[in-house]
Amino acid sequence: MAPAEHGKQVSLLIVDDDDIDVMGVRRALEKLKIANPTFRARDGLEALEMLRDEMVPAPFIVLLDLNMPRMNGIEFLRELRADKVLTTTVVFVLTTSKADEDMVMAYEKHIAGYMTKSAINRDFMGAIGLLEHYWRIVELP
Amino acid sequence: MEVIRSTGTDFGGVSPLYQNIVEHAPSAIVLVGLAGHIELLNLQAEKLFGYERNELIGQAVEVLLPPPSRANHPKLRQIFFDTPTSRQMASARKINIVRRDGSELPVEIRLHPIFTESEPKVIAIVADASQQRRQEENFRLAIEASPSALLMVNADGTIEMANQQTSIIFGYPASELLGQPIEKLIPQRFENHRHLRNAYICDPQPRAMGGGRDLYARHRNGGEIRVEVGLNPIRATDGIKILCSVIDITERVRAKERLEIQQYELKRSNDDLSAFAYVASHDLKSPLRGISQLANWITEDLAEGNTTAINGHLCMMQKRISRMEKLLDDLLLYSRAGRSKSLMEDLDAYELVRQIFDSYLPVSSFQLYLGGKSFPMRTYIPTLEQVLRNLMSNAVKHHDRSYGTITVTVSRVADDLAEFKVIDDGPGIAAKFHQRIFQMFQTLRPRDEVEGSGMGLALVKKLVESADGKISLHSNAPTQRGCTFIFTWPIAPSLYQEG
Repeated sequence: MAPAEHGKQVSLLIVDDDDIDVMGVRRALEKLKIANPTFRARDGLEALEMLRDEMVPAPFIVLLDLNMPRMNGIEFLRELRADKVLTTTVVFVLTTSKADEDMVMAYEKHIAGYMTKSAINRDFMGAIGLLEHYWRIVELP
Repeated sequence: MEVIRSTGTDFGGVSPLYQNIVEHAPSAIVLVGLAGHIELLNLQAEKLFGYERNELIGQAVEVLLPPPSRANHPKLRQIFFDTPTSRQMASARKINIVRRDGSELPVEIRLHPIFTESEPKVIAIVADASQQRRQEENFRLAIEASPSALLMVNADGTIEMANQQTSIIFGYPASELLGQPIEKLIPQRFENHRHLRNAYICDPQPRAMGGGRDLYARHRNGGEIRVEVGLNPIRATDGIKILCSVIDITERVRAKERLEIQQYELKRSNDDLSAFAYVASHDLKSPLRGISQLANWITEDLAEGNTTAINGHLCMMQKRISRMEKLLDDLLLYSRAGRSKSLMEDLDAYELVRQIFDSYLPVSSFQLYLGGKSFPMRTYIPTLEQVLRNLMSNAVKHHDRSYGTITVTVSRVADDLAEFKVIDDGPGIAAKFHQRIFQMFQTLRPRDEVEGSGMGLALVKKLVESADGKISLHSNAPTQRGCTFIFTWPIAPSLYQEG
């Protein structure tokens, strides 16, 4: 496990209300032997709370599901980008919604990448692998 | 001046030519003396009256009149000879004569006075008017039978004729229409009708009235009728008349409105369906995806010979399967909601609430408070029960404590409307979620925390709105705890008193 430039491990905040989807991400990470610390929030509100309370140590990447109760992914992104401290957070969107509107809206909130879960069920590993490379190569805030 | 003898067929002193002319004239000719006796009649007259001339000559002319007219006729004769002029007899009235066989015949009689040596006499030319009378009658029948109201109005706007349909549409018997101004049939707010009428008379053209505008007429009872009016100028012998045809288009207007409502409903229904399909496909895919993932993991784990997590996976699979079943059941309920109209039945609202509480809310640590002892009403029971059950079980399901109270109150806000309030002391719902929770598949807690299809409130909203009620919610979390759902519900107007 290669540490990031600053010698710290990159944390992962998974924001998803679906337990099985979260299990999926964790399994994929296990298979790839990625042991970085993962945190989980059940919806956008909880995620913001956790980030503001600094429960997730920097550097971190957010894996975001779009459809969640109380505050969905788009609303979370809006709040995030409006927050002075959190605005530079790196976010990858993992979602089942193929609808174009969702996609466009997410890119307008400056996300790093967009992956539909159902399309990449098999290639989920590939997606997680991509993330792994991403945080090794890219400098995280 | 011709001298015409008053005796029989002997026309001595009269030229044979004139005799011939009178005898064979195509019209019935009768000569009547000052005292009213028949002095002469020609061939046509014999035919018309059905008598031989010797049966009539010397007789009073009254013998040819129907019995009821006889008494008054001598006086009329007198008046005629006072100022004798060549004219039509009784032109305004329809006159009949009586033939020998007693049958009556409608006639027209022209009178012409002549002056002889002895006294003035009158020549009467009698014409059979039966065909004319029949035609007039047929015309009258046609006007009467017209499915449109037909009115004849003169240049001053006075109604001179109105058929039966006019009476039916406007509610006035003919006697109350004839001689009245046409404005009697027009709502008072159309003050400028007289001006428009006068303008029309100046250059009357056959056309529809008020082209393109909505026309209203006034019924005897003051109510307004939507109509279409056609105007047709007629140049009658005594001036210009306007024949107006009026059609009551109330039903046509209503049908059009009904159609528009149907179209609106159809569009709404289609929009609903699109939204439904979009949401349904997404939210139904979710548990399927979970099941698929779990199946994959079981396969992978088995391949690696790793059996520890398999039971857990299978358990989660079952949960997802039941969730999907519930979702589909609730979807079906939702789509059916408000479709079938049941009949109104009698019930006690508070008793229903008690029943729901006892059967469906198993947690004994919750208390039920009611706003009254009983509230008899007459309404649609199955749907009301569904609404109350959903709201009450939500109150328990989303409570953050294992104990709490639910309060239900019922009141009458209108003759045909009741208002229900379901109040809980749970955590409440923040204002920003108030709109969203009534949408399909919306949950406030993740489904893995609180199992719920998210259809409950959408169903409640649909049921309430299908019954023409309204639902709203009052809650101010997190500032205040508690949540109040208020909805109106139709009830049959009655004389019941609340207990």
